[in-house]
Parts: sequence; structure tokens; C-alpha cells
Amino acid sequence: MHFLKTIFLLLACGFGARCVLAQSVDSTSLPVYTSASFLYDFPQSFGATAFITLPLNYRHIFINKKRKEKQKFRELLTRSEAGFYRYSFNNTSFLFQQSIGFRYQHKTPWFFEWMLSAGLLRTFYDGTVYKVSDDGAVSILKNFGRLYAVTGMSVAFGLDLEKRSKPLPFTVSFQPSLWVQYPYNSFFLPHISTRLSIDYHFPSFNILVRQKNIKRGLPS
Amino acid sequence: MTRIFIFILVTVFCFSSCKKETVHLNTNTNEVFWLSNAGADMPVWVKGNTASHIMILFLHGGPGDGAYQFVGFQTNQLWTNYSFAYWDQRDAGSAAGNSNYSNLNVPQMIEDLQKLVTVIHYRYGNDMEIFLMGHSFGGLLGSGYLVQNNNQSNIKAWIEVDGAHDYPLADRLERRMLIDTGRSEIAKGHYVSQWQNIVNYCKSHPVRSSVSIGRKTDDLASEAENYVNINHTQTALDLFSVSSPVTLGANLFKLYYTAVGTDFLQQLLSASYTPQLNKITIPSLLIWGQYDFTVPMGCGYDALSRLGSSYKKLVLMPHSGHIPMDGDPDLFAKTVSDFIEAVR
Repeated sequence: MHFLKTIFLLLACGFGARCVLAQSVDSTSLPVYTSASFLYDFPQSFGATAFITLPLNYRHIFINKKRKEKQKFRELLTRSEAGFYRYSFNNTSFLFQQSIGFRYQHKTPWFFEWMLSAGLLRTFYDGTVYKVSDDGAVSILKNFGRLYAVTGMSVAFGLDLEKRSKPLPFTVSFQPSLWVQYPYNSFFLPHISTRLSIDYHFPSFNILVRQKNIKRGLPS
Repeated sequence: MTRIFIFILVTVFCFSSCKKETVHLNTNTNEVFWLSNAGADMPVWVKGNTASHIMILFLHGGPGDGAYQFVGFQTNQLWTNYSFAYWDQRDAGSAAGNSNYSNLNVPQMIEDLQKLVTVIHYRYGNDMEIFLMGHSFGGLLGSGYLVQNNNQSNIKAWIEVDGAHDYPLADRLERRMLIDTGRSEIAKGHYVSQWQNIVNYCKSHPVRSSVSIGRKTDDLASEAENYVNINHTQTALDLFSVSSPVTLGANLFKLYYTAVGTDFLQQLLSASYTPQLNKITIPSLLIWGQYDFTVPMGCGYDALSRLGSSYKKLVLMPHSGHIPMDGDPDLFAKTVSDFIEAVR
């Protein structure tokens, strides 16, 4: 029993040593991206969205592994998005949502991102919408549709062209997402969508955020 | 400048709100309108020749399947001379809205249909002759509509396609046909293990006492169509090119895996309009797939003997299962066309 306790304590100490060796807090100027994306909602809907992405904080992590130092970056992002899509012979939908999530990047221009989102969806049905009263009188409902709550999760795989050897103020990304609209027929409707996005960084459009520098790994 | 802008905005608003809707009848209509009733928003996709003043109002099966999947590949041969209205019933296909749970029942659907017929006449004119075509569950819905009040006065004729106007009868005949065909095919050495499984299940579950037994039996009836000589002209790609599997899946999931859905399906186990079929006196055409295990042709013969129509006819589709538009599309189109020309 005593032996097991010793092993456990040694492991805990070792794990601690691997995790964080040092931390420092700083601030840095990061780009605010304005973006446009082409949206495809499986299987028949196509649309477009525009969004703005703000960084909230930034972590620069140095990892010392087997005496080789690696660096990775993690950004906490928030995104405001507005867009629409068409479902032929059914409806046109307008989507407004707010997302929050992380972007992970190494020294290369490639990045991975995941986000959770919530928002509103308003549908406008194709064609005329009729209502018939109990006495048989027909009326037309103008601009009729429904308002839904939406929530979902997305991941993105992208390329940050600002981190190339010849920088350009763009990123491009491919973003599959799974989200639901509620209440749909007293139930919910799942959606599988993808976005192909181009983000532009206006040169003067930056924001100052807190940067944490973290060193991890075994002491050399 | 601001005043001019406000003036233009107000003028445009007034014009757009006062504009009367104009519907043009033409030979190649392709449009959608909606019926909003009791919490449900139901799309109706109209295709074909509305200028013919003949509209086939299609009642899909399931329940829950949706009508859009029948657009384009199973009934399109009839668009040249007639028009089709493909209606997605409440909580089915791509119908939307937020109906409350208590509205998912047959009487409410019959009310929806009554209002839809009113809208069709309002939109396309009272001289639009409506031929009601009910497939599978649509056969129950159509029969229920026709036996009520004076609804038949709004309908030119009734076309029932493998219709389940009597669920208990369809259930008995389904089980009987699966067992009889299974034994015969086993004796011939055709798909022996598959048929043996089907026969064993039907014999061990002699009554459709629950929704899950009913669903399993219907699944076996669909599977059995693969082991007999019938045609399939429809592919999954055809289906998904015109109707969304996501909305369909969500609606079917709700039907089969939620309390409200299973309550509705439970009600259907005993649903029957057989005792009232004699009230239907408009011309009637019954079309049945010879190898329909789900709603066997015995239901068609039963309806033929009970309908009160002076003009009634049963036509069997020799290479079809539950969906004759799929198995015998040419013969199906010709049969419907001949019937319409005979009674219009």
C-alpha cells in the first residue's frame, strides 16, 4: 500500500512537471476577421453567410518534449453571424447566431477550430400561404414563416495565409457543422451543413487581447 | 432627400400590400403554395398542366412519408395532360410548423384536407376538377374525407392506390399473404432462409397488437418485395433529389420514437372506414400492386364490393408491390389517364 502511494505521488509530481513550468501574462494585438461564406445545408439548400470573428484571449504554449521545443497557439474566439439559405420549393431561411470556441494552430499556417453556437432562424415559405377559417373564408398570410431557436457545433479546418512566408490578409476554411432547429413540428430538426469561408483581415482592424505564455514539458 | 426616401418606401409598401395575387393556369406549372392550419404549415407542390382544369390531389402514405418523393419520377407521365398537387400532410415530409401534440390525428387531417380543397378552388377556380388519389395511408385519409358531410360534391372522382382504408383487414391479409407466399416460395426453393424468417415471425406474432409488431411486419412486407418478381424504377437518388431525407427522417423519428407518434400509430391499428364505403358514390378507380404484401389486393377487392359508386373499377398492376407508380409506371399512367377521360 505504501509502495502504491509512493508511485502515485511520483506520477503526480511528474505530471505536474510536464504540465506547466512557467507562465507569463502579456497582451497582444490580434486580427479581427470579417468573413463571407458559401453555405450548403444537406441535401438541397444553398446559401451564404457573413460573419465577424473577434479574438478574446490568446495562449502561446511552448512545449519541451524530448529536448525539442514545439510551439502552439490557442485563441478563444467569438463570432457573430448572419446569413440565409434557400430550400427550393419550400422556404428561404435567415439565420442569426453567436458562436464561441477555440482555434488551435502550430507554427504552420494550418489551423483547426471548434465552436458552439446558438441563435435564431426565421423561415419565409415559398409561394402563397393560405389560411381557411371554419366558415370557409380564405385569407392570405403575408411574409409567413416560423421563428426557431437554433444551436449546434461546428469544426473548421483552415489555412491562415497571414502566416505564410509571403503573408496575405486572408484565411480560408472549410467548416462542417451539426445543428438543430427547435421547435419543429413539436420536435426538432437536425441539420448537417458545411461552409466554405474566406476571412479578410483589414490592416487597421485589430484588437488588443490578453496573451498568456505557457511553458510545458519536462525540465531539460 | 429623406422625405423622398420615405415617400418611395411608403409607396412601395402600399403597392406590395394591395397587389392581388394572380394565378395563371398553364401547361407547365411548377409552383408551391402552403396551407397553414391548426399549428401546421403544409406545402403543396403543383406540377403539370393546370390549364387542363384537372388536378390530381395526391394523398401520400406512411403516415409521415411526404408527397414530394412522388414528384418527378413516378407520376410525371401524367403532367402533360393533367396537373398534380403533391401535399405534405401535417408532421410529414417537409411540412413544418409547431402543431401541438393533440393535433396529430385522422379527424384533424381530414379537416386539413377539407381546407386544402377549399384553397385549391379559391386559387385555381371553382371549375378545377379535383381527382383525389390516396396511396396507402392516404387511402384511409381519402376514404375518411369522402364519407363525411357533402365532401364528395367537391371531388370529381376517387382513385385509391394500394389504400389502407381498413387497417385491421390490411393487417390480417398482410400476414396471410406473407405466410402463404412464403410457404409457396420455400417449396420452390426460392430465398428459403429469408422466407423462413418472414413466415416464422408472422406465425409467432399472429396479431398486430402493438406499434412495434406492426412496424416489424411492415418491414418484412417491404423486404418480401425483394424476393418476388417485381420492378423497381425508383432509386434513393431519385428520392433525395426531390425530398429531404433529413426532414423526412425527423418526422418519421417523431412518429416511431415519441409518445405522440406512437399514440397516433396505436389509434391507426383499429382505423377502418369499411362500414361507410357505401357512402362513396363518385366514380372510383382502385389500383393495386399484385405483389403488395403491405396492403394486399384483397383490400382492393373488399373496397370494390362495398363502394357505392355506379362507376367503379379495380386494376391490378402485374409487376408491382406497394408502389405501383414505381413498379408499373407506364400502365399506372395509362390506367389513371383512361379513367380520367372516361369520367371527366
